[in-house]
Amino acid sequence: MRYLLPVLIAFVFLFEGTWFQVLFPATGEIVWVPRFAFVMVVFVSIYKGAVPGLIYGLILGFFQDVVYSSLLGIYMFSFAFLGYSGGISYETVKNRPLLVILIVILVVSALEYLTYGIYHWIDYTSIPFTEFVTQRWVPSMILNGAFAILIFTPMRKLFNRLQQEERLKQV
Amino acid sequence: MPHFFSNKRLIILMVSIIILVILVGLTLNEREEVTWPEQFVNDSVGVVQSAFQRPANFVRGVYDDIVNVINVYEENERLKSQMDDYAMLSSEVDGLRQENASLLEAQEMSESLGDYASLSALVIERQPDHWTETIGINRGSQHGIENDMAVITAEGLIGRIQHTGMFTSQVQLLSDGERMNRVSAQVTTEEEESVYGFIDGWDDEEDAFVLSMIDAETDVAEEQSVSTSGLGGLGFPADLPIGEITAIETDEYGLTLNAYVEPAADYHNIEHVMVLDRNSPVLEDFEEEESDDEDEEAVEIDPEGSTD
Repeated sequence: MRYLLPVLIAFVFLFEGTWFQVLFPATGEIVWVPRFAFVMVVFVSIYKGAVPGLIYGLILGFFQDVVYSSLLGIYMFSFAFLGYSGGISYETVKNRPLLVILIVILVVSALEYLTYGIYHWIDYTSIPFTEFVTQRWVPSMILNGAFAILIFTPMRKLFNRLQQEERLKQV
Repeated sequence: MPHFFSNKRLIILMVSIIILVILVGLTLNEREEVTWPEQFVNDSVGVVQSAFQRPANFVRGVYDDIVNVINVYEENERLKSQMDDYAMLSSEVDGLRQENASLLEAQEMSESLGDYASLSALVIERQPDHWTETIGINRGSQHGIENDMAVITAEGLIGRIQHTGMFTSQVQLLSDGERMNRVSAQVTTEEEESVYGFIDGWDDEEDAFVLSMIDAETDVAEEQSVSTSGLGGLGFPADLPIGEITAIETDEYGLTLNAYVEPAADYHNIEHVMVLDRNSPVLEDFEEEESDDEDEEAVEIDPEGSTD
């Protein structure tokens, strides 16, 4: 049970680069970026606390950087930083699905803006801001928001199970 | 988030931003070789990815088949009309090939810029964020792949090998934004001499490649085809199709022309690629793998076994 969460995230991480790219490829007009693994990291950060979120984000970011490009550091930084900032783990938040989804969408949007900012700053892309918003941000937000809604219930069940297990161990 | 901007955390944030800047600065420029931990991670993840990719490709294949069946009538009509030209073209090609061979013999030249050996590979991953346009393939240095080899699909050139691991390599697509990513290209015109230029990256506004540094005196026109020239440092073979010119304009200084080139290959949906090597006469048993798919499976599973 303890390893289920990392294994799930690893699975979703691989899914993004393989299945998703084959079955739902980006077109010239719409570039939807699946951030499914990162959405799960935000869940971790909400339900387990900001520091586990930071650690998960750091490790996920490392793999994202090394596996998918040779440009290191961008995702390691942004996943860890935003994974930490997403850690608003009050009990009131945890029990309100709408709030959780809202936080996920906000953090994923922040991630899109942050990566756009970094790539723009190092002169890697020349997409104007308005085009970035319509071409990338809106589709990505809808896609990842839908994913968050989809996994909300199973994730909450999983975290409850994990919490119970930890409590049992302590007794 | 009251806890967020306490002193200690602010310092950690600052330090990590500095580390970010250093890391990006170090890795932004073209690297000859990636470090061994990166290679190791790439290879081991790559093995899992190729296992992942196969069922995905299968599902995609079924979907494409269904679409194909729907379009079969239209396509048949179109192909029939093309067949008429085909017989004439193929006899012409035969003639030209013979003529070329005899001319080369007369010149005592055995090599030309268009010669290459090729190796087929399966695409196992693609960068999901589409900022850096890279794909991973399931062939590495063990299969004879080296940096800067040309990578093509059936339609045309798509990129070059950026770096290799033992069993996987990363391909930088031509649409990637990196400055080093320049390819020497030629335009086939009505005149005897072809016109040369550089593919200078992807233009996001026009959704086309920019072919720059074209001599202003030449009669480049729309709908002419662009291919690699075989010149320049990357060592690409000549005459690989890149695309077709859609628009032309003078550059910002008014000295040379820029042309927008619509790519021949489909950059959004890449499944199989070929890696071309101009230097060696034969890349490792390509013939065998081409002949039958089962065989390809066996070859690819092999490296997994040896890493374990």
